[in-house]
Amino acid sequence: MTRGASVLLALLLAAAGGGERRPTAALSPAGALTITLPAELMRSQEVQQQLTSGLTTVFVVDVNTEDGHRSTKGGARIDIRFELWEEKYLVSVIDATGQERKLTFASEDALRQWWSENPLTVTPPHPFGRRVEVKVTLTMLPFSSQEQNDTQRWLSRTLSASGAPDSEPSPAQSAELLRIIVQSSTRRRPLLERQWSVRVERDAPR
Amino acid sequence: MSSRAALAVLVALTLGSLLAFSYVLRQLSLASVALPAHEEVEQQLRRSLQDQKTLARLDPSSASRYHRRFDSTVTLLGHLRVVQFNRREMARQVEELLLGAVALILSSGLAIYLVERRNREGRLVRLERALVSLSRGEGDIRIGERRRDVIGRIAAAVETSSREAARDRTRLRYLEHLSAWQEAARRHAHEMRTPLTAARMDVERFVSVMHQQLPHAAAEIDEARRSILEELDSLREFTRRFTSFATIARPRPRAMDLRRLVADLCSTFANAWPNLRLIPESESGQPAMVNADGEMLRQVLVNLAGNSALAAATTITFHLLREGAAWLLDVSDDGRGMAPEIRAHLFEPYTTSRSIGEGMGLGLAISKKIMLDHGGDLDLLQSSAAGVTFRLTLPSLESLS
Repeated sequence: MTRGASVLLALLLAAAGGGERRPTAALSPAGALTITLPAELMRSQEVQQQLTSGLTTVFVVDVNTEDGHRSTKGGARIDIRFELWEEKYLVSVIDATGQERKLTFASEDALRQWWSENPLTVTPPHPFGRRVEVKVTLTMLPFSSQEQNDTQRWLSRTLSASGAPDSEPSPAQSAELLRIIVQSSTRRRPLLERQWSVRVERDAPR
Repeated sequence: MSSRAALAVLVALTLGSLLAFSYVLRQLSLASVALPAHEEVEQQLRRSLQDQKTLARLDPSSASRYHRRFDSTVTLLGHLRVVQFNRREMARQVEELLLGAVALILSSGLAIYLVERRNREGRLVRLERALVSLSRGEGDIRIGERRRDVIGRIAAAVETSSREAARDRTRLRYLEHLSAWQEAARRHAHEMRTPLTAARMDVERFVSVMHQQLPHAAAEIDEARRSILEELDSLREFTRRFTSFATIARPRPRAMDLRRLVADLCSTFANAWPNLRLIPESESGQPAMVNADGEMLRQVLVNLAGNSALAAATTITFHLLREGAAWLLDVSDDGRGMAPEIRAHLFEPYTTSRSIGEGMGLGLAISKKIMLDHGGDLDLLQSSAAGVTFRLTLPSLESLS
């Protein structure tokens, strides 16, 4: 293959991947599948805008594996909130081990470095085959479910209450109707979705 | 414009209104939801956050207070961002709710309209059938309309017209029948009058001759003369009644108070019939003004009272009441009633329960003719062993004007 064709192929592959590198997948010595997410994701404008909003940005990682014998599902979740007073990044990670890890990063660079260098355990230990095809789906949600519930309550309370402090409260039926409208319309729709397919090959025993 | 074209126009206008309404509603709802999440609001809140941090740094003794305010502002900012993120969804929910309500109202209205239209068509079909029956002269048509709208009022008018037409036809048949009887009576009276006069003259002449021929039998001759003349007088009276029936005069009406006429009759004829009490009654003390010939009405009432006396009644009640545009006078007695076979022909001439020679049975026929000539009627309301009730009907004076 000529040099030009190689460059062209690399560019095409990069375009197919949305200009981002793919995550890398590996099998731990214990047999668990780990995923390392690409650093370019943290550099994208939409992610950066969301990270500094003051709300908790939730990254949900879903994986589907296929090794020729069986299929397995797995996943992990990363919550990132920028604490505006301390100006630090507070991170909470729940992976396939079931444990929750809490981390703090003083800068965006530190966060990005952790993001790109620390693998996520997305499946428990499993006797995978020699070759595993992994489909990775990453979804970014703009706020946590707790923040959603808090806003629903706040909005219902605000819309149900009258403007003047000494006026009569709204009828119960209208307040209930407003609550239903607010609850059914306040949803966490993904701001970002990415899908990749990666392959993991287990080394042959010597 | 046909009904289909009108319906198409109505549907098009409704859809156009809905589209315009939904467009305006979307713009308004988006604007109203976007207002609190406006970019300037967020910018001001972020400046406020910076100010709180700066104040905390400059006034460490109050840092905790500024920190609390900072946290409150952060929470509010978070709420606004969530609202901003979901504003379209919220607006869509509100629009769907309002459009659903509008659609429900419109569809209900349309359903009600279609049901009402179908119902109205059914009513009009029944009304059409009734009008066809009325045009054929059928009487006592019943349509059964309960509503009081235009169709209901037309139906009521058709029912009233059919009843009045049936009553008028009945009256007309009766009057024609009576007219035939009157013509027969007139001819009979005419045919009998001349021979009776001639016979009377011949009897006088014969008596005169017999007196000359048989002077010794004068008493017997006079007795025979008296007996023959008595019979001739009976025949003449019979003829006079025929004539009277045949030539019932037309009433000469004037405005009068029927209640006063009844009261006067009861006091005038209080002693006319032995063992018979006459009692006037009325629902109110107001005058019962009618346009009538008082003399002829009195004749009718006297005829009824005479019949009651012959039926061994002891009390006659004259009950006056108002019904619509008419005055009703119910004449009730406590006599022995009348036989069922007589009731069917009660108002026909020569219908009587008395023996031959005791009455010609013309009184009720003459009375009914008099009432019909006044625009009213005379009917038998009820008859039993406890007595009979006749009803006189007269139109009120104000209804005639």
